[in-house]
Amino acid sequence: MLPFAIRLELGLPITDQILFAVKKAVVGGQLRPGDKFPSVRVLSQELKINPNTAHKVVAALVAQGVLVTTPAVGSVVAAREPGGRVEKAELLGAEVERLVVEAKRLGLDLEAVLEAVEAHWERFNQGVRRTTAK
Amino acid sequence: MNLTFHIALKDVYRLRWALLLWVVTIASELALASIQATLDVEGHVPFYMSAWTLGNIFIPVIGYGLVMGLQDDDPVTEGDAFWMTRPITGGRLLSAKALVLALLCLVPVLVCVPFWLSHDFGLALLGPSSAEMLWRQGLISLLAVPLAVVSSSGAKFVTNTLIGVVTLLGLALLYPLLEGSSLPEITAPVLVQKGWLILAVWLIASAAIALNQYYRRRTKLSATILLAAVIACFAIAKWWHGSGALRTATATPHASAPQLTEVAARAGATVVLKGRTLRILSVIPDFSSMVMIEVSESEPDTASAFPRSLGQAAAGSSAQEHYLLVSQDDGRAMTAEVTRNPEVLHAGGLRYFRTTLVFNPSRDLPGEVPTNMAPWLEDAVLVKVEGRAAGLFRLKGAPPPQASRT
Amino acid sequence: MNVIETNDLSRRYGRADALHGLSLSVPAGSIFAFIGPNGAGKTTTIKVLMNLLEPSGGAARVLGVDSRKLGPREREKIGYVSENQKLPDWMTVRQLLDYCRPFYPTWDRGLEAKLLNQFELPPDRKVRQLSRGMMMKAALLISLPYRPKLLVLDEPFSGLDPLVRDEFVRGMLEVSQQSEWTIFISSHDINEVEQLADRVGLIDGGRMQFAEPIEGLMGRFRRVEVTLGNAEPDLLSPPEGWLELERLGNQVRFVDSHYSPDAFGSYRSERFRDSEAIVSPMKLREIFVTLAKSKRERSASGAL
Repeated sequence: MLPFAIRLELGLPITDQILFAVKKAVVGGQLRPGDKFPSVRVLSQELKINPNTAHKVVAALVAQGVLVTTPAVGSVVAAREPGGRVEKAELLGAEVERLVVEAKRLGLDLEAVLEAVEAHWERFNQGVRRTTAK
Repeated sequence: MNLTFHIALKDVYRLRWALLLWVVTIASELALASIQATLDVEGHVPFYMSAWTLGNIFIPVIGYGLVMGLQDDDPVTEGDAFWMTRPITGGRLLSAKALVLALLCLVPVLVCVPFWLSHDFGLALLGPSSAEMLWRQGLISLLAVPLAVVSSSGAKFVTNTLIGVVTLLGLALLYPLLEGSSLPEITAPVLVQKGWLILAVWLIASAAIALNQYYRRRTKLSATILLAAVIACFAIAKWWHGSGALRTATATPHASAPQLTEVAARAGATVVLKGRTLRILSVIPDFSSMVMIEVSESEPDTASAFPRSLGQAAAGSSAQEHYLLVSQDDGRAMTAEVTRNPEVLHAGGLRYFRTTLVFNPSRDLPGEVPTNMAPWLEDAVLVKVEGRAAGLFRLKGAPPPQASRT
Repeated sequence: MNVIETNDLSRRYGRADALHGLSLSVPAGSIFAFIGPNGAGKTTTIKVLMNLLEPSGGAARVLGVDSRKLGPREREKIGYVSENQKLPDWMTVRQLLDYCRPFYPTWDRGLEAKLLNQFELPPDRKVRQLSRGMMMKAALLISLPYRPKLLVLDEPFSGLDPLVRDEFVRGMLEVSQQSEWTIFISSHDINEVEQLADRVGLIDGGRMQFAEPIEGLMGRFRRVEVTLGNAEPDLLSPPEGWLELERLGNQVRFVDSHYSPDAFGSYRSERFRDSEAIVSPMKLREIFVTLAKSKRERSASGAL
């Protein structure tokens, strides 16, 4: 099992998908500084991707400062400042784009989209309250 | 471990049950042949027939099938066979298969050797007998190899064999229709020459086909060679007129070494000497004061395989043998009228045959002929004289037997 | 170094060409997905590469030697798994391993044991009693323990259920060591190879349609949906890269096979004034279907 959540989709570049998922996990706190990051081999096996791709991903993560390679242990999550609001919102970008594209396909305007988001937000909150009440 | 042996072992392991069946069949043939030789005329028939069936049908067929079994795990026709994508060269595969093929030819010999030793073959006879048996299985393998090597599977091999059989029948029917001398007119030496030439052609074709398939896998070329070989063999069979330069000696059925075999003149008496077995089945002092003795014999069966067997069709039984009934009491002897039973059983490297001997006391015994031969026979021995010694032998105090003049 | 290289390869089949002018190269350390419709020539190509068939023209080189001269030294470094090849079905799994092992000097018994365990193959069951999935795993099992430099897979996933497919891919990746391990895989199962491939080659009608890095391929294909405003679109003589162009009411849809943001920007402003456009990436499978369809429609293979 991998220490971060990911579900690979076809059609989109794998490297980008993994980079995105890892960054989300770091920003969201699932991956903490000092956590051991899976090796290229494990990544390739678990995600069933080309080892070259896994290698590129790790290299990119190191280059972008998300991971740090230590001689004995391997790749480790780098220490960083906790993610700011703007950064987190940026990571949400892909989801937002998908929402916008779907809305456009359906012919909705911005107002309708915002209404839908609010409605779902409310429903979600209520759902949370319902479970915690139990 | 040597990779060639590794492959050969794999095949032997795969064929182990078939090999065991074959060994059991061969051993059964030997047993049945031995048993039938001890039984009288009525009783021996089922055993004789069983031995014959095993020896002429089952054993060759299993031997033929084993070649196919050897081949079909590693086909050498075009395709995607398992061995083709592993580090195995055609040459190595061919060596491995040849090794097992040699072993197959050796198996009947190994089964027979103990049997032969118990028949007092001695080293001098083991050699030729082993060679003969190797030759027989070798011929069957030779028939099977070109067909096996161009067949992509066991099923195809069976089909190809059937096609071969049908072709053979067709050619046999075609033979008398074409111009040229008919079989009965051809002399024995020429017949044998044809046999050797056909064998040579088939051997060369088989080698060419095997090399072609294992190294090149050009099945179409192999099929063409096979067809050409069949046509060539037919042409030789039909039109070869013999050549003095190729004269080969037609081997005489019996070795001409001098031989003296002696056994007490009693039913059931048996002597085993240098591969020859002589057993007296019955002694009947006939009411017309003849003495009739039924004898069952066996001897090593060398030089009787194809193609020399072609030359023996015309040859009758050897003239150089005599049977004598000699009294140990007074040395008097009688010669026999020999009637050889035409039924000869070839089994396990031995030739089994029966002979009826009729002795005429009134003709051969000087002086008074006893009315009851039984006491005389009690002290008598049956002597079989063969080979050059036969010409030298003389009865004590009796005119020279006519037989010795031949 | 190219582990596989073909140069103008052709192979006759009767009077037709099964392969014609086929040129492709597979660099070391990559995973090359060889895709194409049924009967396109994938299996024929692989058979020529493995010297199971001889080329009628042109040449192929594998591990640096002419394919016609492939010998034990090369085969010790090649693993081959094909849906067509029959394993010796009378052997047990263990006997099969015992039989293959001596042929490969680099055979690693530890790796063999690990893979046998991972694949969960019953060692004492005869090959002919194995299910199809297990049989393919067995075929892979005997192709991995000697760490081949080249693994050739011909339709390895056909007839396998998703779980087995998963195990199969895991087994393949188990042995991977970058730049020492090249995989050449032909498959109908395009979804399966999308995540694995570095390079993709498409063969159709015995000819290579293209062979390029997968990122490039996926990067240049986009599905474009344009919702028109008031202006009429200019659809006269569309660029060659546009496939499956169709117009439905106020929507224009097509597949752009030569997409780039700049090119898109320019034709969007030239041809689709006052419109909204949605550009979405395509899965490899969708790219394959689009290409196959358009080839059928065209009389000659144009630029793709």
